[in-house]
Amino acid sequence: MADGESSREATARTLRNAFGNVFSFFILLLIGILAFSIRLFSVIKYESVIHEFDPYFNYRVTQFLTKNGIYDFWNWFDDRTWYPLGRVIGGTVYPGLTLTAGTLWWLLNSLNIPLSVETVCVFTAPIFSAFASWATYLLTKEVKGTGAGLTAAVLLAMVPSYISRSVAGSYDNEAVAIFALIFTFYLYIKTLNTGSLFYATLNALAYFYMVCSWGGYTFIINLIPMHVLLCIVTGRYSSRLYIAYAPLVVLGTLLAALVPVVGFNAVMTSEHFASFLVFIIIHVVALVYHVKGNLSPRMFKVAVTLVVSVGLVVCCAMIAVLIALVASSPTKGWSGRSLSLLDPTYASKYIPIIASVSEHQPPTWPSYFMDINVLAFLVPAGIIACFLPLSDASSFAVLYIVTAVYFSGVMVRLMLVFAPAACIMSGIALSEAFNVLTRSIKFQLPGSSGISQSGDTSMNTEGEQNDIAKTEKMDETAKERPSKKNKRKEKEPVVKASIRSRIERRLLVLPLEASVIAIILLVLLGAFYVKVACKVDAALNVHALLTSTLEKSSRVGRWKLVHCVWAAAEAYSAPSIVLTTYSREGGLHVFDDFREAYAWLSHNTEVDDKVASWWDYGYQTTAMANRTVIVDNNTWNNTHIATVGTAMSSPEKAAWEIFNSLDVKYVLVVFGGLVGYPSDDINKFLWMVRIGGGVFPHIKEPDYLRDGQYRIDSQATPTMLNCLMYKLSYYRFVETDGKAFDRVRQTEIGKKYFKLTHFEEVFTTHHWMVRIYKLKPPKNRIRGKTKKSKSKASSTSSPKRSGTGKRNPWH
Amino acid sequence: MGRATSTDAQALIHSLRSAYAATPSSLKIIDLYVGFAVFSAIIQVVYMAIVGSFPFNSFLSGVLSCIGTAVLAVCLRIQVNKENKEFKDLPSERAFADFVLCNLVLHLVIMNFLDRSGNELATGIGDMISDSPGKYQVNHHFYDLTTLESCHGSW
Repeated sequence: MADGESSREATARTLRNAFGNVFSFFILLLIGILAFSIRLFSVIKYESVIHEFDPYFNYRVTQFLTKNGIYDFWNWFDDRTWYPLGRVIGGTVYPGLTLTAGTLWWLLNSLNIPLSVETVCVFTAPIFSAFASWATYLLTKEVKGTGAGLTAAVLLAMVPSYISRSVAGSYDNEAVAIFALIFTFYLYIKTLNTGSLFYATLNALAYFYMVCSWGGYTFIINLIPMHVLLCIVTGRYSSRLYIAYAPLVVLGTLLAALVPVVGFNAVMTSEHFASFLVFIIIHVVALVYHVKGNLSPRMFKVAVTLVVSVGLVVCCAMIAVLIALVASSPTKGWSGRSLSLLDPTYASKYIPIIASVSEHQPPTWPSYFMDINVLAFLVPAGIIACFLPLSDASSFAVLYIVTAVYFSGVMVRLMLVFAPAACIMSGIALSEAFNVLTRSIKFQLPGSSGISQSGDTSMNTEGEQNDIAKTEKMDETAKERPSKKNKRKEKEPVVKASIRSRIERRLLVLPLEASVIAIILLVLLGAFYVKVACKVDAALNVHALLTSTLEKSSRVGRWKLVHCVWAAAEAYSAPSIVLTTYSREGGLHVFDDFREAYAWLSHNTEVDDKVASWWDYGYQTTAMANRTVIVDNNTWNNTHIATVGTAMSSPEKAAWEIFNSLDVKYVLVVFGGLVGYPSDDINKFLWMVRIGGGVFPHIKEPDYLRDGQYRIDSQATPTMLNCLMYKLSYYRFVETDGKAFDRVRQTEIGKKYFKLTHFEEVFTTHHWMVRIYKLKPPKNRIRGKTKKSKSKASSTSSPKRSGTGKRNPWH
Repeated sequence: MGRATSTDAQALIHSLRSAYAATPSSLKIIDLYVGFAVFSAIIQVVYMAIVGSFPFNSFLSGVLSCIGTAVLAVCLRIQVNKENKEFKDLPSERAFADFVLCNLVLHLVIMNFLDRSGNELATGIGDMISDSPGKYQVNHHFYDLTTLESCHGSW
């Protein structure tokens, strides 16, 4: 009879398991749909366009790939950017995103679904954020079980920090990279838990995909060795750890070296050295464990003394050689961006271009709350839950969040790496809380029907039995991956363990009312999560608008005149290429000036004309107007950018000469003074001066500042009022309202009436946001002669100009 | 002292040898394979030290293929070792299949990496545009600085 009961019990359990599996499958499906659709606000509110700046480059590359094929893509030398230097695209991009979208497009087309490349590009990010939330489920499931996994997946689908980078149309590397990151971590943990070489292979391949996708792969190749080292130091070494790590290093290094942009850097730069060092260490440790297993303790002690005395000498020699090698390289082997991770002040001290990008600057405290909001408070609880009990996987989760917090504190951009960690931790915390609360309800409900609640085990209720079964199962899974420490526990009789765990569970029981209320509160928290998030977002956006002052180059500067935003997704959905504002009556007003200007360029200029602008607009100009640009967002050549910066900060004539020497026909400036668009060129201008002055010392920052203040009103310095950027921005501005009131700087401009001598205005968009000027042709010599009688100055300069013309390499 | 050390060392070697004699011959074959792979890696490193690492991708793929082979064989040895309690449930056929798959991936990658003659060029340019501050200056000489100087002078 007992047999029959237990078998019925078993079938019930399998049924419940099967039901649970199907249920969680549907939940996952819904999470995927949620993650996808929450990112579509931008398409619904605006249209299916690509946002921001970098995505336009990626889009252009994808177009090239789909048109010309993979081999031409690898060998692509782009002569339409960085004129006259050009750029090798195939060898200098992370190809993961492009190849992914290209493959998607090809797949859909071969299935006779004719989508345009742009549509595929727009929807790549939402699709991959659904994948990312599934990967989060898998990772958290490996760490703490299914419940935590589902919670973490939901949280990841909605975390604002990730939404901001993956709305439909933000077609950037991070879109696929976050998925790759989480999936690589999942496979690492999976390998660590199972010790299967198959997963190790998959892990290396996932790592390869990550290397293809984003420069942030160095985070993986440093975090995993750190975890391995942590395991070794805390005595948790196991052969599963070896299988998880050693093949990953060898295969991963080789695969990373296959990506052209990484190439031999995979073995030459010190970002990767940590993994090699740990690779050596794990072999030594593996050998020690192996020998220890084969020897008697006394013999082992002998061996240790022998090996240590010999090994110490060898180690010292090795370290000396390593230090010498690293010290011999100029930057100590670290690249600038990585150095700024270790020393947050590095970039601002030495590399103005890196510092000028606002996403490379340290975040402010509000941005933590804005980006992950309520999760920030759940993270500590999750960390505590990870320590009960500490397994290899949960120690990895803890290490991940700790390092991610540090890195996100260094660079705003890396908040994106921090967001998944925060979601995983919060998922664990929430599901643990639910576990405790529901269990205490389960314990106490039968109590109301009269059964005493003393610790008498013979009076077990159904619920409690289930619970014990569950805990035993959990114990079993924990035992499947025993570390050195709980090996001792394993020896104890199982019964004792289960009794002990039962007592522990009993201790965790909360009063019924409290737990019911707590559950309701938790559910309410979940329901209001989005709403709270968006209110905070709206508030913070207004704040950001007010503080986005001159210093911020704000390449990502989101422009919000919208004061009331009702969904977190909506707050981030504005594509910076099309801007909207609500008028007082509630009507929607659209600023489509950028596309207007680029369309003008593509229709009214020659195909081979060169357009100069600040580097922010380089990618868009090449992608949308199809014109050659001087500098673009790739920023690989500081000198070239400094040349453009110098031209912008020089007086008209000198600027004309610089631009003419670069074969420039048109100059494009972005001006927000009329409509109040804060991230325009005047606000970025100090960075142009700084970067220009860094290479050409005759441009001095103090010349543009009055008493250390940057101003363009009547108090501005003459250098400022005469520089090209000022003139091109404010030319004819007074004709708009008669007062020339700049709505961004909230002041009347200093010099209202002036004429341009070397440039002529050819196009200004509807809201004056983009203004395009043409370089006037060089003056005719005869006119110069007639002028000679009038002014001496021009006559002295004209022969000089012809002289420079001859010396100029670009003529 | 020295005497004690030598006797200890002898005893150590003896016990190591006796412990090793007990291992099954299949594991011994794997050990031999690992030893051979490590040995050939060392030979290549020595050769590189003497002759130079010019086709760096060839050197890299050679050494890493040896190391990779050795590492994978060690993983296989760990998994098929009967004394290893962690992998009791893993059939040795499955372990071997995983091993073959991993090797396949490894050597496909290496074959691809070996003949990357175009890689040198791409990497050279990749180096140029990588973001280390020292390298920003690479293209200084492309631009004639005197042009700008004279512009400034004329103003």
